[in-house]
Amino acid sequence: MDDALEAHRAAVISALLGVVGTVMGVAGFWRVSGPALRTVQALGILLSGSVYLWLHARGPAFSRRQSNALFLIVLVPTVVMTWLADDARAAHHQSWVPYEPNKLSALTLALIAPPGWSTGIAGILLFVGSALIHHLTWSDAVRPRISAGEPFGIIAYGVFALVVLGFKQRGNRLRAELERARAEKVALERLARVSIALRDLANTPVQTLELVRRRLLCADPQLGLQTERMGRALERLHRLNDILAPNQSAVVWNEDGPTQREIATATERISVPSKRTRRSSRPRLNAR
Amino acid sequence: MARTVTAALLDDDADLLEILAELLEERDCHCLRARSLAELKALGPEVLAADVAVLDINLGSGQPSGMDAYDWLVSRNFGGRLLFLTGHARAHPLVARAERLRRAQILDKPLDGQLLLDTIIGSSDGAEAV
Repeated sequence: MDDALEAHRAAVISALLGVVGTVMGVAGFWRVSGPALRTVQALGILLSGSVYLWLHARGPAFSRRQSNALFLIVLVPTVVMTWLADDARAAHHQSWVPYEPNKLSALTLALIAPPGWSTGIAGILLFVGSALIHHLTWSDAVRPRISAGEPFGIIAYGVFALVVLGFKQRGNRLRAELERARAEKVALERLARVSIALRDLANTPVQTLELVRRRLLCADPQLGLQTERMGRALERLHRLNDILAPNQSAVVWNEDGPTQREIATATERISVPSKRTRRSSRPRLNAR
Repeated sequence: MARTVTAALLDDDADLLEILAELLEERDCHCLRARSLAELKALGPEVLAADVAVLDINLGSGQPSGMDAYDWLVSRNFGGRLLFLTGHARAHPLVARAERLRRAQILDKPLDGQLLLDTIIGSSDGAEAV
């Protein structure tokens, strides 16, 4: 899978999780939510749902940059929603653990991020950064009701999300290298198959020439010098053939496999007589 | 006087078949030529009485192979020597299968002309072949 396809897949998952997460947020925060939060939730579902359908309809036709942009765009309503949800919880609860959706989102983004660092880091910083800014804006009346440990909790989640993102990017790099190695192996195998097919097909004409040389030598000893030259030329062809021999270790031979098909194709092409051959008469079989 | 050796030659390459037969005939060898299994079978009982059969392994795409010719000869109690002459690599499935046969010997193309002729004629006399 190439990076553009992987980025498309990441954008699809991001949009899908945007819909699922927001629907869960609607249910979870229904009792504390006001019109503003519900509006943002509705917009979030609409945007994520539309992007999801759009990505599905277009298939992997998007460029990597476009997919990465969509990946980040669907996060924006979620960031606003987490901000408003924390405001609503602050207004309705005596004490609460803030930034829970931000923490979950940061870790999830690290796991589903597309290839390349920038999009993943931007997504993680969007959630961690908004939580940190929100933390600075709490009034003195609310601040004592926030559970202990913040904002270090959200910072720790952010750091862990970046570490997970690092592993994810390493996996992406290994996958890309594996793809390259596989493509190279396929190309080498094909080259080896062609080499083997050519080597095998060249052997019969070389054998024929060798026997013709023997025949000429027997028929007219005065042709000794010419047949010697021919012998040396054949020897060189033979050595050239031997150079191709090691390629056979790179070839997987199966009945009706690609190697057999390669040989069959080469045989058919080599068996088609040239115009010059067609004009000359063929030897009659079993004629003594 | 030495007995005339009869050789059954099977190869889909007409030029190789002809030149090999001509050279063998110059050595008083009686040659039966066939370019396919069907032609070999059509030659009749004379083939089964030959002293040596030289079989090309690959007789063309979609055609019965030299291995099929081997099976046919053995099933008809062929009593002579069996030689496979092939241009294919030893890793080729048909060649690998031929190598496992005890009765047959494999000769790799291209072989020195003199050596090839000696092997075909000599093998029928029980000489050590290549």
